[in-house]
Amino acid sequence: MSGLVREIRFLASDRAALLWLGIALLVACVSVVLGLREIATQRVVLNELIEIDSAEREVLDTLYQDWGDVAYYTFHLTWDSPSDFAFAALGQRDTSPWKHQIRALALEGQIYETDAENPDFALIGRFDFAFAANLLAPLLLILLLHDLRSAERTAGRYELLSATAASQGSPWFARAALRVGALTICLIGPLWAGGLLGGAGASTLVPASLVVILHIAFWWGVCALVDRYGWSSPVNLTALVGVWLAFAVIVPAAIKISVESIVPLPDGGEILLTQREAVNDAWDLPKAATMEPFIERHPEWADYTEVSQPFEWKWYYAFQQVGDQTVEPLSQAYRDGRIRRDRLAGSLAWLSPPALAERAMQALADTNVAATLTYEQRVRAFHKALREYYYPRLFRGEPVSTVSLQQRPQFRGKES
Amino acid sequence: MSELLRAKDLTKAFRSNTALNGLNLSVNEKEIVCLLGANGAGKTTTINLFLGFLEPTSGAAIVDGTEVTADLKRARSKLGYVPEQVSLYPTLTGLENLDYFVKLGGGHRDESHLRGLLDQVGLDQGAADQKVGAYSKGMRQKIGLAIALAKGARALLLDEPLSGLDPSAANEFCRLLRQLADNGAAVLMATHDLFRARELADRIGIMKSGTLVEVLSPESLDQAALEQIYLNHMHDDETVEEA
Amino acid sequence: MIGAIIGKELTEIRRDGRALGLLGIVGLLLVLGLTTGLATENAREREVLQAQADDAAVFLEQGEKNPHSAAHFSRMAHKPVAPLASFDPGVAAYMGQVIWLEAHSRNPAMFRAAEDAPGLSRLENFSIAGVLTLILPLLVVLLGYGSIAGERERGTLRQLVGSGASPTRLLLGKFTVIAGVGFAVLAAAVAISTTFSLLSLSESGYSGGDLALRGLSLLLVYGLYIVCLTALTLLVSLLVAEARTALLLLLGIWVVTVVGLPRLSASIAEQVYPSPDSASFWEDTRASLQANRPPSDSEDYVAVEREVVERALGRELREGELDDLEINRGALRLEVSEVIDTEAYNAAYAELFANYERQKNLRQMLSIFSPAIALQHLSRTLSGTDVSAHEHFSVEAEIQRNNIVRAMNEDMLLNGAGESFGYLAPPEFWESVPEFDYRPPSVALAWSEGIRDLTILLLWGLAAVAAMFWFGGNRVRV
Repeated sequence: MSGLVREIRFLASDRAALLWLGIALLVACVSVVLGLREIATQRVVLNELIEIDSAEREVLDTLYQDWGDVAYYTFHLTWDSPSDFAFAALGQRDTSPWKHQIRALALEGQIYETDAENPDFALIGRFDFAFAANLLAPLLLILLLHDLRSAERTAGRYELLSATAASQGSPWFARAALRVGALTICLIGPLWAGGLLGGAGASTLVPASLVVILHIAFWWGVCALVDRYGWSSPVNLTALVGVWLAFAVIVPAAIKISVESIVPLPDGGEILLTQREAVNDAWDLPKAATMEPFIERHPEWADYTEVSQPFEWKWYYAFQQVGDQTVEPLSQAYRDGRIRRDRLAGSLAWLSPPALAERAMQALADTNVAATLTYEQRVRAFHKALREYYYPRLFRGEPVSTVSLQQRPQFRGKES
Repeated sequence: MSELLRAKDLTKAFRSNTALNGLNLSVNEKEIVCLLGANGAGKTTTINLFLGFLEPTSGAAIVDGTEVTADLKRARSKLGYVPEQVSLYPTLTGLENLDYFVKLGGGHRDESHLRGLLDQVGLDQGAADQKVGAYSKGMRQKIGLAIALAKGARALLLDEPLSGLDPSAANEFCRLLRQLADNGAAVLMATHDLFRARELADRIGIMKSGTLVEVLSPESLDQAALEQIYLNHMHDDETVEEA
Repeated sequence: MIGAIIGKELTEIRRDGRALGLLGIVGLLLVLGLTTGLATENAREREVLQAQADDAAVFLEQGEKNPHSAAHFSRMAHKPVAPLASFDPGVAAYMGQVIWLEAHSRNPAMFRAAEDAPGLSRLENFSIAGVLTLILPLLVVLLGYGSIAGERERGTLRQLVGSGASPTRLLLGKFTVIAGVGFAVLAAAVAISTTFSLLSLSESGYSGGDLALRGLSLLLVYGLYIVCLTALTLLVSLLVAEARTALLLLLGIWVVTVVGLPRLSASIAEQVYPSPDSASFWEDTRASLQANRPPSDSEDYVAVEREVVERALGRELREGELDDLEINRGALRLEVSEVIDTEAYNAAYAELFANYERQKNLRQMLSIFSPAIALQHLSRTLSGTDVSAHEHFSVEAEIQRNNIVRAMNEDMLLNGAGESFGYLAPPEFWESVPEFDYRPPSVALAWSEGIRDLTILLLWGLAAVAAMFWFGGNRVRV
């Protein structure tokens, strides 16, 4: 125990070490506060939108007498509410949409709509806990540990210390362990404080803490390995920063480049162009050209395909759906490609511990690519339900009624 | 005889500690003055004040009529300096080091002149083209002296230049110094080495706790007498502490 | 004398294997950055050109059709790849690259490459600009941390100053060498990317001269960055007793100012001036569109009607003539609503971009703590890949949208009298609709955009150099 007290006193008198630990604590606190605020803002925005959304629908429901008009003018908000742990890893939420206003028109034209976030900031990335713990903390650990041995060597105490301590285990281990422990506490402390404040449970905080600990342990191993070569402090430091650059920047960049070249994606613009063409052409084509592919998908309406007027709503919605149908293969390929890209990146991320830790945290926070794709699936399912609600009313020409409107599907946020 | 180095009531205090207390000393051309004293006696402080590495708390260090604080550049241009450890660039050769220091001091000498200087300080030609990393201490000191010579300095400041030199290297170094003084240089040398000081110096100053306590002329003393005087001063110190 | 210092420093670097190894690594990274940049940008450029050609073909071959129906289909405006995107891709991947020039609606750009990117941490956004911003400081720090502190430790500083060397000149010599090496790396990177861009300068609409000016401007701003870095490195090396402390401190500063602060500043700016979410944006825009529409019997409405018809006919209308004209009234209504709505759309988008500007300005203020932030702004601006370049494109595309829709509406208005929406334009009509000939902004716009960032970078450089000489003058601690 006296050994520990002595090491704590050493640490307390090492001003540089205290500076790095202070920075780590500050960085972790700031990242947690910023993350919590960001998530709080997203929730406020979402709640406002949900309120406006249902209020607007109430007004609209009294305005139109025709199901075609109702379907055309009624928007439905869909959303992906942030999880309670999302504050720690904002992940893809800044570049991928987490809310859409959907109506019963062709979905492909609606689902790629993007938010108006500042692209400059999306490029830079967010200052969230994941960034602090996965990219900044290793650097601070390097600054903390790089000269444990070399400093003693410079001071001429190394041989003496090694010889004296040989029987009681390495003094370096205790010294390093104390610093690593202190850094880990500086990171995990604010995480738990923020997590408990934001309502995240132990089910995410414990695994997230484990990720932090394992990741820090990896960098401790790297520092220990480099320190064994007996180089001078500056050489150690240079080498370690080099290792950080390799793992945190170069390997992820290489992963990104190789993933993108191994898994090519259909051009997003092509989906939209094809869909737009299909929908637009329908106006000028014989009505049957629209109804045939529609009936293939919905044989239950085969008896209602007669369109006598130049414009009929059921035909309008049919060609909207046919538009979606035309690009289905493309859209599916696009989606499959994104999944394959993400999976491949997940496997390759084992080559870069910071990337791996980042992905693990995004997964815990439900802010990863998979979560984005799940949300997109839920939007598609809701859109399908919406169409299936309108079709009987449009095709049978039922009158609009309050009772019927009450049966319209409502989007429900996922349970958190 | 012109006075090349002069300390006038020279005082340097670091917070509560007075490192040098009202030093009055001058060194004339063709003269070698050795400062003797224990560590912390104020010898190196004196040299640092002449070089302008430190600013005096009061009094003045004057080099050939120029007060150091008034015109640092001019004062330094007249000074040659050989520290205890002549520090050189290990990746450069002896000749390259000499060339670099000379150029930075504002001078320019062609290569044959520099080789001549190295020859003069007793460094053989083979060594001049070797990287300094492999030099012995004596060889480094010679380069240090060559640097001082190359700029034609009239006043030389030497801070323990002999420590760590083997006896024959030390002898040779002293012979060189005498030769330089005879050619007109003023030499102020801080040292621990009583023997060499008596051999070499024209005057010996004994310093204690920042004060010049005695100035001796070595011709009038034999080695034993000098040692006795020196030890008496050191002993005083102990009795003061005991009291 | 400076020559001697420079010569000696270079000799030391040359004879020290580590420095050469370091330069090798930096070179390798730059080559990697350049190849990936060129590969991605070339692929994107091909995609854009292909998509443009496809879009034109579909539009021109749509045959006999109602012009308003065609206006709904309309055209796509493709943003050309900025030629220096291979140097600094900027926000390209995070902003849509295609705008649908649809009747009735000013659409935002669609398709951001970022959405198909595998989920990593954003540091992997590898480009020459990124390498330079992140790694130039490391290069300079590693070359310079020991240049004063190390000489002090070895005692050579004392020796030098003692033998009359001017500390100021010594500092200047070291500064020249370190900044020079950094600048050589920079110049190579900029020269190679600019040359490659010049070679692949196809139909992007940028001129070779403009591109060269951009290259020179980038050299200037990154050069200033190097000046800041070198002066700061030497300053720390001057103030700190030991070389290893200097290195530790400098790397700490690097972690905070180059890795941490640029992100932190972005997060702060986003929270102070939140970007509107798209739902609210459209909500507000729809509301202001409604508010901006005058009733059809109001004087304002009639005035716009008159303006639209006069423009279509190319002559002024006599009093009362409007009511008697044989024109397609449906088309008139459409064009009037376009003219009126455009104002509201432009105001909404102007506000959106103004908010980006406010965010940028706040972030700019935080570059008081990190010159890397000002540099990031300038680099993107000068490469033509920043938000303002996108705004320029968005505004031009909107003008094009107005032109296309107007051409359609006027055709129907003049030729479809009495036919209502049954009027069909002949197949050859589509060729008369003007093509989108987008001229990207010149470097002058970039400079007017970047002047404040430049000022900040300049102030950083001046302050760092002044501090360096202040602490490294004749009274330098040896």
